[in-house]
Amino acid sequence: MIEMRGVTIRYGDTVAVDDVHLTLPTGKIYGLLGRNGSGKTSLLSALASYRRPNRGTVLVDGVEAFENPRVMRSTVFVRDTLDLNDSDRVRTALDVAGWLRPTWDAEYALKLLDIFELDSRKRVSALSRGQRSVVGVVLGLAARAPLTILDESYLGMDAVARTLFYRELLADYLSHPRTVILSTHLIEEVADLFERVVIIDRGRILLHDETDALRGRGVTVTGPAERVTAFAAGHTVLGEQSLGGVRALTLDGRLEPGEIARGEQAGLTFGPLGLQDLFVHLTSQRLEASR
Amino acid sequence: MSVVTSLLRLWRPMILWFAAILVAVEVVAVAAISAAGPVRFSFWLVVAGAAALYWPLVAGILLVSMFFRIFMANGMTRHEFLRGMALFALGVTVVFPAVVVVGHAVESVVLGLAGHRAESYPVFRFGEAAAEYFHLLPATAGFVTSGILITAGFYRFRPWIGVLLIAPGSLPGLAGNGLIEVDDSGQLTARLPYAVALTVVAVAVVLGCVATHRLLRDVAVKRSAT
Repeated sequence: MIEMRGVTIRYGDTVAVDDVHLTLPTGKIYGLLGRNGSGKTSLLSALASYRRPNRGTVLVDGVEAFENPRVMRSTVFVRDTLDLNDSDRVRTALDVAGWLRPTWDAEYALKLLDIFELDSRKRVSALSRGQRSVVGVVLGLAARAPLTILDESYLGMDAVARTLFYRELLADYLSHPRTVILSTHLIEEVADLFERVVIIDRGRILLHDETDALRGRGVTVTGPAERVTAFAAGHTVLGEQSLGGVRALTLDGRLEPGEIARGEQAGLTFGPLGLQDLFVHLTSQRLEASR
Repeated sequence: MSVVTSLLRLWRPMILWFAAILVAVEVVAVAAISAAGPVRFSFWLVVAGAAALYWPLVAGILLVSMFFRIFMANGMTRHEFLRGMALFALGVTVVFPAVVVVGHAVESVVLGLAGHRAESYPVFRFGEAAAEYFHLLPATAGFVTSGILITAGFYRFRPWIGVLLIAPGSLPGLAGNGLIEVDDSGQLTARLPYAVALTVVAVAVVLGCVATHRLLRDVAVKRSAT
């Protein structure tokens, strides 16, 4: 169990993380979602003991995580900016991980480099943004650390590389179950990986729940614009999209079976709530819309 | 693998290249000087003696700026890194002056055998090796401590605070080199009685170590080198 108790992180007058209480059962894939500057990286830095909270504590299996060798050894935190020197070769980075990390799988690291077609003889300074992210992903996954934290690890990766990353992450998670925390802005792209979702906004946790439960919190109604609008009367609208005469509205809350049946008779189709719509609704005051 | 062992493996290529360059410069320079006549000073004491100050200073700077976050990112705690760094710095402090003394011995013997030693050349004597070593060691210890401490100041604080901390951070190095030294003519100098000077340097080094510990024991792992 990973617990944050009253964690507050400040940078001068700015409060990045504000009295966060969070309990994360282990052995799951978490999605950490938040807008730019919402406190995601600060929260993850505290979780990984990269930063000591100004107030509060982080506990892993009941013991304080900060400066705890056992906890540090079983945590890997890959930031969007790699913690490597530009002059290092990729191979050196992997070697160091092998020397220091008891759970490091060198064979798997080489396999990942092969999958992502990355030359280990290259220096970090010679890598593109996407290739640097690949190195981060390799370091994160091959560490096989019980707590794996990946902070926007996809930056600069093309669609193929991102797909390979998600595939490898899921495959490795299934063969070596552990706690994975993914921070991302590409919500819909990764949403299927998440077992639980944590949404942070202005340093506070807005929401922490099972992904399936979140999807069940609302419904997407699609159909002819005027019929969809009429159907949505009286419901809170979380998001909307229109194309030609077709409109899709994301509605908050569950619908009664009778309502759905009536809607289907009127030619409307119903789908689960999009995680991104929920995220936008919860974290954006300007876009908040209601009927 | 421990922090100090990993540091040694990481530094091995740098150390080997540096040693190779130092030896190459020594061989070429001494050959050129002796071609013009008997050698009047120890080129090795000039070059390696200076290197025994500035290489540890640079090593101290790099230990914090290049390696701290790498070890943190690979599951080490700050205290484990500090212990490993202290052992590595101790190794530099102990070994570097020994290399200078051994190099002086080799240079002296080779020039003697070749008959290229002038009267003023500081001939190496085994009986004085320990004294030469212990006149080099305090400055090496001071410079490596200063390198680590000054960089720790920059790492912990904003750049302008780091600049302000350069002065106190350089005290161990200044004490080591200012109070006890070996010059290129092999002259051993202690500007205070040796025991007093050594004590002053030791106090400066210990205070530097304590200050480094205070600066890095709970520092946030930054995204950049400093």
